[in-house]
Amino acid sequence: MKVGISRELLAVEWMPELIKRLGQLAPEIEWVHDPAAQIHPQLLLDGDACYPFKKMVRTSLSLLSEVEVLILPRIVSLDGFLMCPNFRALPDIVKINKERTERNRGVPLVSPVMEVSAQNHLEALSREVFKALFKNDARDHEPQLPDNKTEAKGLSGRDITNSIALIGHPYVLTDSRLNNDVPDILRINGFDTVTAQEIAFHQLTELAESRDYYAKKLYWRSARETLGAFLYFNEIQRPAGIIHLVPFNCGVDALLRIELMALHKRLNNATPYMVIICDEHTQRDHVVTRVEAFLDIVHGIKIN
Amino acid sequence: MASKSTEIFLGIDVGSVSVKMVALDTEALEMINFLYVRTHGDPFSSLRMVMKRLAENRPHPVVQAAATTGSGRTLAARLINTEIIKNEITTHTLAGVKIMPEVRTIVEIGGQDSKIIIIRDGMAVDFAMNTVCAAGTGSFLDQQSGRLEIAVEDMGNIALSSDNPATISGRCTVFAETDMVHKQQIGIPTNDIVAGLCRSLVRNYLASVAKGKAITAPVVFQGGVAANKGIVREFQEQTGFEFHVSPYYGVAGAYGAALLASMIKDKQPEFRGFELLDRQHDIKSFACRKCEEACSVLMLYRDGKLISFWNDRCGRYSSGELTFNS
Repeated sequence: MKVGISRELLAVEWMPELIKRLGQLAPEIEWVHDPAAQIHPQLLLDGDACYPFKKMVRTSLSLLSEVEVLILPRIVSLDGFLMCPNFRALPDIVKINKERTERNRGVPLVSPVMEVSAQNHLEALSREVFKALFKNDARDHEPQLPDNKTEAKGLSGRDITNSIALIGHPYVLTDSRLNNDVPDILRINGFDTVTAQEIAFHQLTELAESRDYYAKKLYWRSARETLGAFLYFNEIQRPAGIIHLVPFNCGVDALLRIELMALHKRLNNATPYMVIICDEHTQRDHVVTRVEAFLDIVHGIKIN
Repeated sequence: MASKSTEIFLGIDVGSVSVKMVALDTEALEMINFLYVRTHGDPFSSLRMVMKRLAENRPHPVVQAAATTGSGRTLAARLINTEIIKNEITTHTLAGVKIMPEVRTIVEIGGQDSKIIIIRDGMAVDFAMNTVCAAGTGSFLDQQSGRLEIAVEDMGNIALSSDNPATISGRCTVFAETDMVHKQQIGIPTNDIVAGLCRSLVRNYLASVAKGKAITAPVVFQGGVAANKGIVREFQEQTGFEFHVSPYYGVAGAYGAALLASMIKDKQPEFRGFELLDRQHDIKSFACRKCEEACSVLMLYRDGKLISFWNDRCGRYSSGELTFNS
């Protein structure tokens, strides 16, 4: 059975574990993450969404013509912290747009609510998806807890002094279309990259706790991840610089951008820091100029 | 200006609206020549004109090292044959620090770009540039001066003659123009409209480009818009700081590039800028299909012979690994 999950969602934590567990329950699943051809329909209701969200919708719609079933979880919260509300709407937006086109209207969507913070939640979710995929399947799986989630290995012991840390939403950090190719531009300029994805979330959220001084706790998962990573790369292991990749000035991203800039000013001897609003650049050269100027700051270019 | 020396360091800034050139004496690093030429959408021809004017100097200048900057820096570097290519933030930093070593903030407003650079101990530590919005840049002032039928060079003095600047929206050029048309329609004097425009553009700069950056004195103001005294007055009134207009404000990027050229100790490739005058140069392009990026790879031909590639993201052509035929 050919089952689709869009490539962008693979960057979301717990998704690789879900795929792995489903693979154990049904080894015959053939996964498709990248459509052979992208379709570009005029989307309904995409006007106010960010580019990453639109890309997820388009990838999902493109996958429909290549799979028998599309899995599109309604991701509400991970590790006890809320995801962007757009993730809750994603299955609905894909469904609405699917129904508008004759082609692929019959391909089913499997959209379970995803609220995972422990192995037993993942097991329940995996079984729910399995049942939806194989409705009349009589296979009787022994109840078991999935393998422990593969924690990020961390960076201790690794020399990151010649690396630039990239922080932001994981799906932005891993997708060259969404991150304006910043990792590649850095590589061309002789710098490696490290990301928050290499640090365990529990460590990031512990660091973020030190800044839980708002009227409410900072309850968005990606905000805790980004704030924790910013603090990690300033206080625990120092790279040559930090670049914060923001899709656009939306909600918590806008708040966090200002917060991190203010925090950066207050830190003594802070790691050089720059924000790139990905949606504000239409040409690669604009991004190259900013990255090169940032690297000149890192190098400390001074007139003789 | 007459040349004191035949040997020069050359800086070239190919911007969106103009090409700037600065020649420095190699011994004292004094500016012995500078030029500002409008591109009118054709940076290649503008660069050729700059080379022509430079070549007319007597004695004929010998370029010891050259550097390029600005949005057309890569193209310019290929045409004159230099490997010193630097972003405009760094070159403006070098220029600002050179004229005022204690500078802490550089404000630069050019044809389509505007920047703020925060300096500590002679080094840039932070910066910001405008992105999708060119409100408040030189090209918008150009456009509005044309519409008001006044010379852009006169806008500053006209603004200074007003004691009652009109209220103009600075958030977006479209809104600003709409407001200006409205003010004209109800009879507001032109000098008040121009002064209001200066006020709104500075407000826009401070709210969008300088957002979150702490402006501290001394401040150096660079870029073509620094010629506008109305803008300078507004910056000073809205920030409370004195804005020192760089003596080289119009060519500051090129000045910084020339200073950078003087700092590079490695042996430089032979300068070929003057060959733009008497040899045939053509630029062609093709869409590479080696990967999904489909780069528009550019090729420079000199007298019909292919001599250089650029704009290939992977670098396979510019490094010589692949050729056009492969």
